[in-house]
Amino acid sequence: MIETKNLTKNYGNLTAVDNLNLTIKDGDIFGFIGPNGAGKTTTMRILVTLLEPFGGSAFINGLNVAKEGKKVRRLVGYMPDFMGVYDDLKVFEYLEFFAAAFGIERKKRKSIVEGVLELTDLESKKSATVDSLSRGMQQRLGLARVLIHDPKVLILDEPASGLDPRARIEIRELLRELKRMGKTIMISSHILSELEEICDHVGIIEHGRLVFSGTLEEIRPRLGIESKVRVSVADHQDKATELLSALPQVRQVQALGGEIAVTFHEGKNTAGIVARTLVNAGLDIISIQPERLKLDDAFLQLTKGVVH
Amino acid sequence: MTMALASTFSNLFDPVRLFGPIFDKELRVSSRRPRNYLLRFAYILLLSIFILSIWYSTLVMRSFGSAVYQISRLSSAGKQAISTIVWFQFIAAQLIAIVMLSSSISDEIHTGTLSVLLTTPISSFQIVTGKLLSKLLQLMLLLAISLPLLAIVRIFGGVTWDYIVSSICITMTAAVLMGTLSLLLSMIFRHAYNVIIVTILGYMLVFVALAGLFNMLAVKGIFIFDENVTQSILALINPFAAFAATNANLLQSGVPMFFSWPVHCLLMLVVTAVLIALAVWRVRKAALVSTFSSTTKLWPAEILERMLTRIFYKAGSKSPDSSIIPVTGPPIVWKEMRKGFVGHSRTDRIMTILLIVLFCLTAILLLLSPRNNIFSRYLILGLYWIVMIRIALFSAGSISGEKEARTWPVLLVTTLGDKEIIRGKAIAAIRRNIPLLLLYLVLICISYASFYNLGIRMFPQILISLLITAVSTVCSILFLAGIGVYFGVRLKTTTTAVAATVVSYLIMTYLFRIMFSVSWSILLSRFRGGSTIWIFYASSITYSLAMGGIGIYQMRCAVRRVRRDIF
Repeated sequence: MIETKNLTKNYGNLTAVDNLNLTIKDGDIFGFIGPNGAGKTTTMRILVTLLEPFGGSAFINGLNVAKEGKKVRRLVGYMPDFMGVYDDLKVFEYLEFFAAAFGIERKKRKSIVEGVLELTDLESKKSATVDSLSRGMQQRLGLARVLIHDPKVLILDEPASGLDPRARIEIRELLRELKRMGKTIMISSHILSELEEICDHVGIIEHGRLVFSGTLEEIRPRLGIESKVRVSVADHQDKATELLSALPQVRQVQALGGEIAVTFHEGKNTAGIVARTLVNAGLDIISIQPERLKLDDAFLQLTKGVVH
Repeated sequence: MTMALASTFSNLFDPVRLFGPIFDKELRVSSRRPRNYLLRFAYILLLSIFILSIWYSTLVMRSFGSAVYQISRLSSAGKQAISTIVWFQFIAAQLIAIVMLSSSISDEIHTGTLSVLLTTPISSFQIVTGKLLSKLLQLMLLLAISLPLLAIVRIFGGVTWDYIVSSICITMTAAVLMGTLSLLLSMIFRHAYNVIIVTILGYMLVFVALAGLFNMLAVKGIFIFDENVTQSILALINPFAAFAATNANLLQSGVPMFFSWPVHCLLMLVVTAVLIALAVWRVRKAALVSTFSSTTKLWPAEILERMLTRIFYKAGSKSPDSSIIPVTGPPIVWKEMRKGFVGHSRTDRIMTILLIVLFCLTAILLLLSPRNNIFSRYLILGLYWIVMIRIALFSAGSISGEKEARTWPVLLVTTLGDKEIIRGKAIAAIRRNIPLLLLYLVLICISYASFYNLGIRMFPQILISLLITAVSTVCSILFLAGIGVYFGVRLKTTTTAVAATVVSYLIMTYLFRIMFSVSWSILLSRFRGGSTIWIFYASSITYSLAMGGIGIYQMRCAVRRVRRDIF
């Protein structure tokens, strides 16, 4: 588990992280979102012992990151936002070097390195020099390095930045696989739609303060956003509009061309209510689609100062 | 009418109009950089200390005899002092020109601004001359502010204005030539330190080693020209020989048959013009081909690397893929040693080949011409400095290089201890230079053996001197490795970390030497007789050990600071 208590970090007069309280449960994928300069990278650097906090404390699996640095480093795998690689090493050597740096016994290194190469699908590149790899492959190599000492917690600072769509999908699949392996993952990204697909929880940070932490569904009531369902029926659109308007959970019904937009007071099982009502009335449904709250929208609203 | 004429005239000779906006921009930027003011201050300070130390050693230390005798010695002391000062200026001006222009184009290439400049109407000529002249203007300023100091020393008498003017002209043309070469090389090599080392090595090879070789062949009568003609030709085409000839003129010893410094300066300016033309032709290509690729191969260096690895570096157990070397021993040392003794880049290989050629030429000069070994003495000194700069480069660069490549934070989140990281970097920096250090040791042994062959049969003294040289070299290595890792940890870029390390070494060597000569003279005045030589030995050892001690202390400071300036 990752936990921060009133975590604060100053750079001169600038407060990069301001009394940050954060909790990430074991086995979760936690999306850490915020505009540039919000304090995401600083928080991550404190968690991986690269920076000392100015105030407050941070814990990983109960270990204080400021006091028990070496034990924390054994538990954590960190991938920085701009990851450099040793361009004079081969892929296998690069990973074996980090295995040695994490104190893994020489006899075990080979099998471990081969294991992570297989997991990250880099087996065919093991004799290639690191600088000859494409950007996407270098990112995968970075993930392989992070996994070399089998850490319980992964802290990944924008792992998909600068990658093409294919490489991004590959990284996303890899993260899902790591979640299945039981890793706790804290991930920051500017590509919010990607976090939406893989994250269990998200935290939105602005000016060093956490403005929201929870699931995507929990953001909706917090923002006062209504839940909408779009439905289209084969015929009798007027009848369908009338039926749906009569429902007590529904606030507003609008006919938009061939579609009906239904706005609810609450956001639970809205599509089910609409479907049940129309089917019970003997109407044929062509399509029904609940309108999801996009993470980008939530991010924009939360970081515009709408919610304090 | 007069106003219009004046305006036309000033427009015609406006440097910004002549050399373009680059010249203007460089001057503006340089005036805002505190390091340029620091450089001027440091230069004047060093020159003042230098003059004071010469004054002290030539007049104060030898203040015996009557007043009339001492006054009669003033002119010879003046000659001695001024000749030493202009030598200092001659070497310092060239070094400063090389350093100032070493990153002039490579920085523009690396930041991508050169390509942008080339899309503007600014011509390649304006880019090259703008960069070159703006830096050389600063150098001229440095030489100009040292003129009053030279004028003061001239009061001693015995030094003609012709000597002052000729030495300054030779110094200026040599500095312009070396600066232009440095600028040209900065289009080829990415890092400033590589440009500096390659330029110095090239200079030593062409102007010292080859000149020494031709001179030796002429002396032995196996060259196409006789000794006098060879020396005259060398003095015309070689700044080092020209400067030596000018000094010989002053001190009335060994003047070449024919030597004209204006002709020499003109020739140097012609060579400079050719280099500028090359730079103008090359600058557009340089914007496209930014640096040497690491895959480029130079086969002699490949063979050498394999040979050295086999001799000095156990690769551990065999791997199924022969190109993969398993990690053995401390991981940091392994990783640094993986870069090889020669290095993987073409720059490293060019440097190694130049060094080997220089070592061979020096050995030939020492073996075949022990009596006339002024060139080999300078070469040994130069090679010693190159080896020391390499140690500084490997120790400081191995950490600051990781910061530049953004691998430093990744290394620090491993479970490796801070001490383990710093120790590994320092050990690897020394180990990677072992082949060169051994070659240097061979040269020193040849040099001492030639003394012995010359009939100076003082075997115990030679042995002790050899021992002191060995202790001094080891302590210097410790100092450089220690201070190198310290600056590597503290500073962000390799060029500044290496420069800080080398300058620290220079200052420490220089200041320690002055302190040593002062304490030596005090001791000499109190203990006259056989014990003085032992005081000299004891002082040398103490001075060396102090340097080594500082190096070890700095290494410990580096360990304490590892996690402070990570980003």
